This record gives sequence, C-alpha cells and structure tokens, in this order.
Amino acid sequence: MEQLAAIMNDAPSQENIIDDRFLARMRDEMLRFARLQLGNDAEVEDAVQEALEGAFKNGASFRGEAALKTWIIAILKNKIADLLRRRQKHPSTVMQCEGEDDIDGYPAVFNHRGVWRNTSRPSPWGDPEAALNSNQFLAIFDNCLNCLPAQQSRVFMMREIIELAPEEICVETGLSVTNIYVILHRARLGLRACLEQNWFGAGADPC
Amino acid sequence: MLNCHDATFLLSQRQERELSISERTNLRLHVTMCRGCTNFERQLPEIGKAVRAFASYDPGGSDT
Repeated sequence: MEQLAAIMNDAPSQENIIDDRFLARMRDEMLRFARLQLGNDAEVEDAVQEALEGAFKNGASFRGEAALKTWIIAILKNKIADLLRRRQKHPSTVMQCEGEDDIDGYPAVFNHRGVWRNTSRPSPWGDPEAALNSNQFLAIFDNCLNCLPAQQSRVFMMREIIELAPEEICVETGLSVTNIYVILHRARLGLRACLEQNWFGAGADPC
Repeated sequence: MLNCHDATFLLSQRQERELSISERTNLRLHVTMCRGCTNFERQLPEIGKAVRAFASYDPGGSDT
C-alpha cells in the first residue's frame, strides 16, 4: 500500500475521489484479472503495478471511481495484450482441448448425428441480465470457467475479455485460426451447459 | 442440412467473423426449426456479458 500511497501523492488532484480502500480493491481486482490471462507469475504483479502507475501519471481528470476504474482496466488490458504478444508460447495441439467426453467426433452435448441430446438441449434462460452482477452468479461463473479445460478458458478469455482478434490469439498461442474457432465453440458450449445446470436450471453437478 | 453441432459452430464463429451468404442461409433454416439452437443463439451474447461482468467483478461491492 505504500507504493499506492506514493502514486497518489504524485497526483494530488485525485485525492478527493480515491481512497486506500478503493485502491486496494482495485489492485486485487486487477491482479485477479491479470492472473486469469498470464498465470500466477512475477509478470502479473509488474503489469498491475505499471498499469496503476501509468493511470495516475497520465492524470486525466476523472469524475468518479467508475471512470477511473474503466481507465485503469483499459491500460491493464493493453499491458496484458503486449505481454501475451511478446511471450513465445509453444503451440499446443487442439487435441488437448477436445476432452475425453467427445463421442463420435462431437462434443458430448450432441448425439452421434450432431443433434442436441435431450438432457443437453438449451432451455430458455428467462432474464439473465438481472443475475449478472450478483456475487452468487459470479461465483458460479468462476466455477464454470474452472471446469473448462485450461486451454479453452484461456483462449475464451483472450477473446472475450482482452478482446484479441482470432489472428492475435493465433500469434500468441500458435494455434491456427480454425482451431481457435473450434476451441471458442467448445468453450461456449461448455460454459453454457454449466451455467444452465448450475444457475438457470439449479442442478446439482458443478461440472 | 446443418445439424445442431454445425449450427452452433457457425453461431459461435459469428462472434469472430462474418459468415458467408450460404452459411447464413443454412444457419437461418436450421435455427428457425430448432428450439435448442434458437435458445443457444439467444444465450451466446449473455455468455459474453457474463464473462465481462466476471472480469470487472468488484469483490468489495454490494450484492445486487
């Protein structure tokens, strides 16, 4: 927190809207966000620290915490995207994310003719908007992400959170664009099924 | 005629790239007749919103 306090002192105009609690929360959130993408290594702390410093150094005037938060997250996203682009990852094969549950070449939610199984066919969700920001929903979402094979959740988050284009994910992971489409499809199928089972359908099986 | 796997694969890809006219036509034909894929199509954007809500989750915030 001393580092954060030092940053704050460099930007006196921010004092009225930023308090320690906000910064601590912000930092936790950023760490969590960055770890999802980069794994749990030294680069994460650095990226978060740099993003925080960058945000305050450039001292734009913020009308409130929400605007500041959006700004910091935007900087962090760029940092993560840079790091991901710089990292030389060994290409992983698409088989890793096919999973054991594939039946006749289709993910297990489909039968051998590629048609939804009765137990897996999507049901209406009612009004999902209402749930999105509840802690309970987000905890279930977290579990569902963790249930996905690591490569699927990683590619999915690169796409949906960091908003990398498929071509950029391709550079980062060494996967072909076609493989990325397959992985994203599977991640969405898996997440959808998990959310329906555990949230919208209130089933028992966490995965 | 597309099966549900192919239709959901196209629906998923539509988040990343523009589909061709024939892909769109085949997709529409299937989805119109398939309740499961109709629901899948409606839910895809919700999954995107959910992951963004998750990413900006504020553990200190109130439970709404």
